[in-house]
Formats: sequence, structure tokens, C-alpha cells
Amino acid sequence: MFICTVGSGDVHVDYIKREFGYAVLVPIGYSEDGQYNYFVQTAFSELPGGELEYYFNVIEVDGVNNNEYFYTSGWDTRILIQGDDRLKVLSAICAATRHLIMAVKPQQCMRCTNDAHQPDKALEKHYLISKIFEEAGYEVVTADPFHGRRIWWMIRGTTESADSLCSEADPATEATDVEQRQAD
Amino acid sequence: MLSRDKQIELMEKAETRLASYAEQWKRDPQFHAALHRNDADGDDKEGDSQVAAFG
Repeated sequence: MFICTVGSGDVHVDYIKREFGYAVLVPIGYSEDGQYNYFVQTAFSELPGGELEYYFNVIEVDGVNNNEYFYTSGWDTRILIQGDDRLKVLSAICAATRHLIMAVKPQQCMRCTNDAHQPDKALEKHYLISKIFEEAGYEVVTADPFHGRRIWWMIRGTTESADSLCSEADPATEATDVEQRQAD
Repeated sequence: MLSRDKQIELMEKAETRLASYAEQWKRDPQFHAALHRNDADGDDKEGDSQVAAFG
């Protein structure tokens, strides 16, 4: 059973910079039997060509067998983390994302959904991530989904640079979505 | 301008890339040490990691 520690006091985060990417690690909990610790990872990794891709994971750390399992799908974490704990973990993801953006300050980056055909509720976390980038001074643009998968670009700077990156972007749609969801 | 073909390629291969990134991080000693710092026999952290208050 997952015991959530988010919000139970100050925690420490690790910011790790490597040649292939950047990561922020935040502890979020442990298993009742003490064998596993859980972390949120937000990260940028370099795509071929040098552009950075943003993503986040939940990592299960097996302290007994000295290995790690990366939960990259929301469908998997749904079994592990339930109820109010999901909101707490989402808040940790948001905080870790802010920390990562402020540490790296990329000129431009992109991100994709890992799961296809996510329901609206599952997409809310992606709208929140967009909002965080916007609050950090980025313009967030998107393109048409492909077989239920979505893609966004975050660009620090002018509207012109965003337009030139993605001609099919419709930033107004997503901004409206975020505002609507926050109002609800 | 990023072509639609390129956009589709990025979306199609997202899952594969994420798995690849995870493997890359797993192989990194500093990353491993940060995850296992609190284990009973965990490694000491070294390198260019930073620790910051986060509350």
C-alpha cells in the first residue's frame, strides 16, 4: 500500500544535470512494508537535433533489490496511487516542473502524451503543466492530435517564434480550456 | 515550420522515447544514488546534484 508523504512538511529535491538531460526528483511516499520509496521525476531529455523534451514519471525504488521501476503511464499509477493522494502527487509534479523550468530555462521544448485517447479528466494534468509553463513566461502551442496522442511546444519569447514552429497550433483553444477547467 | 509528418513521428514514438529516457537515467550513477540515498545501505550522493528546500 502506498503511503503518501506529499504535504507532510518540507522535503528536499534533487536537481540532476547530465549531458543527455536534466531531472528533478521529489520524494512522494513509500510502501507500507518499507521495501519501496516513491519519487516524482520531471525531466528534460535531448531529442536528436538538440531540442528538449519535457516529461514526468513516478519512480518506484526498490530498496531491497536495489532497482527502480518507472511508471510512465497514468493507467499504471491509477492502481498504485488512489483517491486524494493522486491530487497530492499531481501537486508534487507541478512543483517539480516549476523547479525544473527555473533551473534549466530552455528557450524551447516539447512534450507529448504517452497514453493515447486519454479522457478529459486524465488530460487535466497536461493542461496544468501548460499553465505552469505559461506562468513561467512560455507560450504553449499545440497541433492536431494523432490517433489520440497530443503534442505541445513551449516557447520562451515571441508569438512569431511559436507561429513559425507549428502552423497548425491553436493556443487560444488550450488557454480557454485551462481557464474553463479552473473556473469549474 | 515543423511538418505534420514530423509532428506525427514525435507523437507516434513518444512511448518508445520515454522508455529510452528511463533506461538512460537508470544507468546514471548519480541518479541512482539520489534515488537510493535513503535506503538502509544506500549510496552517498556525489557530483553536481543540488538539494533545495521545497515546501
